[in-house]
Amino acid sequence: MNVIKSLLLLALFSSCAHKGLEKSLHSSRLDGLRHESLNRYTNQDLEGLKGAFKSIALCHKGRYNEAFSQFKQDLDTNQNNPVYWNHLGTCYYLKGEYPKALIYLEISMKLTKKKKLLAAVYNNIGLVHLKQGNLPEAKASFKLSISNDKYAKTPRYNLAQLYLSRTNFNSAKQILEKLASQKPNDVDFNYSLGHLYLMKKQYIKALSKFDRIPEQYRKRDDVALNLATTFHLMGKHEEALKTLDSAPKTTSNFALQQVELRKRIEQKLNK
Amino acid sequence: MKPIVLFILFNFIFAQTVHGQAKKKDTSKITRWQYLLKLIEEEEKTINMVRRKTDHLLYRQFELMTEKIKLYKEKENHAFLEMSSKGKKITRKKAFTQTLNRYEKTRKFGIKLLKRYPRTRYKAAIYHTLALNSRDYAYDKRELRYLRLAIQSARKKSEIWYLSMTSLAEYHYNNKNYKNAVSIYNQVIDNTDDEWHTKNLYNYGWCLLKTHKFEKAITSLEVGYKLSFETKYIDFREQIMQSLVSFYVIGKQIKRGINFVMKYDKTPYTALARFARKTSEKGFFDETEQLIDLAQDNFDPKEKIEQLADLRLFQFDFYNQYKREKKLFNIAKELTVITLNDYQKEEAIRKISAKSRDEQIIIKKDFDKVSSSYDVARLSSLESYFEFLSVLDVKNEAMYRFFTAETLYSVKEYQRALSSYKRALETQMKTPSQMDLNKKAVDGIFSSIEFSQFPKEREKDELVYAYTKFLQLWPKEKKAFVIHQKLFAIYLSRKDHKNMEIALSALIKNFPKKGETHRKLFKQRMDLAIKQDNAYLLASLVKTMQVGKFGFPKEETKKAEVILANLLFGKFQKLNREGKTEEAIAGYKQVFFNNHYPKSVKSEAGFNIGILYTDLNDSAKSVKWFKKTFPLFNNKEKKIKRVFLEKMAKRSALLQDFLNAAHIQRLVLDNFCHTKKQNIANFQQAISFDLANDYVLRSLHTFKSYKKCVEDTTATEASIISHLFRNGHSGDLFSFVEDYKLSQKHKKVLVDYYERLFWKNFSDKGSRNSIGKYIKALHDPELNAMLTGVKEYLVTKDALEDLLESPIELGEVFNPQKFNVDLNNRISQFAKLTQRQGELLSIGNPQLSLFVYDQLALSLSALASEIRNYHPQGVPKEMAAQFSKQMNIVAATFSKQSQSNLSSSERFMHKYELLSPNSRKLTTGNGILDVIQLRMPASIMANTFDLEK
Repeated sequence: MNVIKSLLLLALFSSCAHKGLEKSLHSSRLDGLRHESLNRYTNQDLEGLKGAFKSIALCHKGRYNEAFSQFKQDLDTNQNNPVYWNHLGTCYYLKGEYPKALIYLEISMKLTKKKKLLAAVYNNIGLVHLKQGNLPEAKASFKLSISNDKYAKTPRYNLAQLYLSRTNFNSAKQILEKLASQKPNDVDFNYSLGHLYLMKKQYIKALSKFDRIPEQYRKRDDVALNLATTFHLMGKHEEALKTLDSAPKTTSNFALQQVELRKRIEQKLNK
Repeated sequence: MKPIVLFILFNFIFAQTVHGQAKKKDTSKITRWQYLLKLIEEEEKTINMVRRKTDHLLYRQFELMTEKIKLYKEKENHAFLEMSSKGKKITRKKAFTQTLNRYEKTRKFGIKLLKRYPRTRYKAAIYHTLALNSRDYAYDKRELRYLRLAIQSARKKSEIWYLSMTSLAEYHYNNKNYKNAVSIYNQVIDNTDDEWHTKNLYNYGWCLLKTHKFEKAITSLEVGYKLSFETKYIDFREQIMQSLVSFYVIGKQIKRGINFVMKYDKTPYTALARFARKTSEKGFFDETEQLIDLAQDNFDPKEKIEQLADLRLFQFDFYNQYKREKKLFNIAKELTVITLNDYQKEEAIRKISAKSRDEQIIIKKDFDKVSSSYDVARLSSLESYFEFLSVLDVKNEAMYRFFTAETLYSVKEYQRALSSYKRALETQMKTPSQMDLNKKAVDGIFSSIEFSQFPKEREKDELVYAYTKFLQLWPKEKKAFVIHQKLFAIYLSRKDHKNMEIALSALIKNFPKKGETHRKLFKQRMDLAIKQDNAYLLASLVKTMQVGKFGFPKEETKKAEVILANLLFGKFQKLNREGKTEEAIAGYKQVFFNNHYPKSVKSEAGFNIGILYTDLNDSAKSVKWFKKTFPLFNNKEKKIKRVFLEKMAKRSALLQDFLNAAHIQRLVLDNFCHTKKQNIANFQQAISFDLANDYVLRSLHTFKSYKKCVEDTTATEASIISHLFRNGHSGDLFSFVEDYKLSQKHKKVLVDYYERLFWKNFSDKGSRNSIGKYIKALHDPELNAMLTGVKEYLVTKDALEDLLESPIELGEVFNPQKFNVDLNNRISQFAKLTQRQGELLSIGNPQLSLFVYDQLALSLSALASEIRNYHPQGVPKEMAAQFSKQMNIVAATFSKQSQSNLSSSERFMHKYELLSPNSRKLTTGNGILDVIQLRMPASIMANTFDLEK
């Protein structure tokens, strides 16, 4: 029965896999990277962007053809504009065409003289490498980004994510705690720290971080999985199951893990 | 008498015969002459055979000698005339030598005869013959004497006396001794038997006229005229009438004359006409008019046409003489319509020409230079006279037109003069007149144009005409060089390309060495075409330049091609700017496919099509057009276009069309493979643009195909290697490195990449072994040590796992000693294995070290768990409790070591900022976490940096 249930869930998750993780934040107060990154803007927020940001906003909304058309139209007036190339490269990154993304980001890199802009470009180059699994290159790019703008939060956040994914928790902790102190309400800062403490088996600390996350975002697949695991490891199995139930299960990676966790919890409860 | 008559008759017949003979050809006359001579000589011979000649025979001989003189006179006269006609001059004496000799001889013979026979009956006849011989052959002034002697010797009223008397009267008449002649004639004029009576009356009449006896003179001629009707008299009507009309006029008896003529002349026209001339000469205007009218009514039907013409010609002179201008004009006009024979025509022409000249002179004289006024009517008449002359003298029509023009010019009627000069010239060119007036007419035309003060355009028209005619006539004359250019200038001002071309061609033909001028004019035309935006024409002109017709240097031709291209393409470029790119392309295509345009322009058009398709993001068509047109350029142009293509490639890339960009770079390499030093960027971009689309196979193919076009492929190899690694094409990476033997050349980067691939695929044995082989090919000591270490790790890992999978079996009956021994052994084995693993840390490979730490932590944790779970069976409770306590203490040690390894691993990672490989499983020491493998998805969590400050 459990096997059938798992298979059904797997089928459901596979069909929903394309949706990906919904990262947008409906309140700017919860977004510590608000002034640097459009990644967690809602569609409504993106609609309000004008001028130079119009095209990149389209990319974040997934309207790539429109965006590229606009970029082509704007080429002649922006050939020497590093911001233009940064946006175009970022757009191709978002679309998943990484070689092209790198070409345009490198153009931006060569054109820009401003360190802050260079930081942004290096960050985005790092993202491309990260997506392609070229982690040393990603790490180097994020570090270059940080060296050009030590106040920029996005590259530091991204570097922390890299460390986290590679289980370098201590390096990640240094960065995340500083970020959280600067922006204590950021959902992903708190989530990342919650995950970190969980992995370091500091469940109470982990829970305290998860508690800082507003209810609607705790239901997110990845957050819910981590929170449920924390509850489970703290012996709060019912709460763990409740958390798992609230998750939408739209992201296949996390959904499968949620299934596995549920199995373990139910086994434990049965015992 | 009879012999005399016979003699005379013989002479007459002979003369007529000889005269008749004279009409025949020379050869038959001579023959005839010889025959006659022979007859004479034969008769002479016969006479000479008689020893004693009578006066009769001698007289006959005298007559024969006289006949001989005549013969020789004729012969020598004929010869004389021939020589005269050939222009040879000879004196009469020399010309008639034989005649004179024979005359003298005959004269002497006659005198001798008279001396011998002083009372001969032939005396008067002999003297008469001597007189006539003297008159006809010698001109020795002996005639009078001999005639007087003849008359003296002859019996009065005899025939010889009569003949001598008439000869004497003629003598006096001829010598203008009219009184003497009259006196003689009075004595003989009554002889109506003489057939020459009519002639005598004629001569008599003349003598009477000369002695002012007009009435008698007229009467004598009238009688002679009337008698001429009779057959017994010689018909002297013509001569008599000729003189009679004069007599009437001189005698002022015109009316009588008219009546006489009308009464007696059956064909009175001739007489009337002559009469009219005479009355005209003498100032009888009315009478002349009357005679003219009569003559007009009495034309000889067979000769009417000719007579009418003669009459009109006479009337012309008549009216001209009497200044009857209107009538004169009408006659002149009529002369142009009636039929004239050649002579009459000549006469008409001569008369009207003379009149015209007179009129010209008058007009010129009367022309007032101050007021520029003249006799309009006279001028009009003169023009008409010239017209008449044109009709009469068709072959000289041009000349008359010219005269008309000259006349008009002289009175400053320049515009009219111009028309006439033109007509004159046109006519002269078709039918040249006797006067060579081309030059004069053309000069007249130019001068008239100058003074006519035409409006500008009209003046140009006229100048065009004038220049054209000049060049038609004297295309190579020195002045023509300037004229050609002036004509061209007019056409230029009128933007008349067709004629400009013709004018220029003519200049070239006639002045082939004036290249500089040819080019100057050609350029003027070209400038006009440019100004008019006439690309089609300009294309023709450029083609002309290209074939070298004008000797333009290549740079100038090129410049013109550029101008043409700009002109042609200007509108297309405008369309493109307005967003009508498709229309612009259509326009360029029209140029490309039109053979009218020069090759350079067509190729530019095609190239521009390629550029436009690039803007339209139609890569396939863009490249197609570049490929199509590139071969059309020459080497120099190709070099320029190369730069353009490279820019287009860059632009394509910037416009996110890497496919097109790569195509273009390959096109450049196709055409410039030989310029190895300059090709490196093209080569790199041709590959990197394909790699931008992740077209691995294509980019590798490009590398293979075009590596010969560059000197050094190192940088490109590095780019390919990086791309293949970073984009997950490990298989292609290994093949590329193997195929081109790049292991050592790019060892440094390959060491890193291969190791990362190794760790990435560590969990799959097959991949691990395969990558291991490639790593070995790098011959890197560190990597080789790593491989050895990994091998050892895996062996020890398997050994540890095997060891942990076979815990101590306690059995139903617990044997503590045995258990202790087994436990110790087990721990020893474990320790050896963990030590072997621990030694792998000295290799210093970070990833291997992480795996070792993980393995040690796992193994220690598993051992601790195993020990903690030993529960002996069949032992007392206390013992079991004690046993568990001991086991927990032992297990705790191993747990602690396990944690220690975990901590070391963490510290290691933190210290060296390591990133664990994908294949490394999470090892937290927590069962749930290790099972779920909870990892943060960094690539999903990471954020873009868009809002740059």
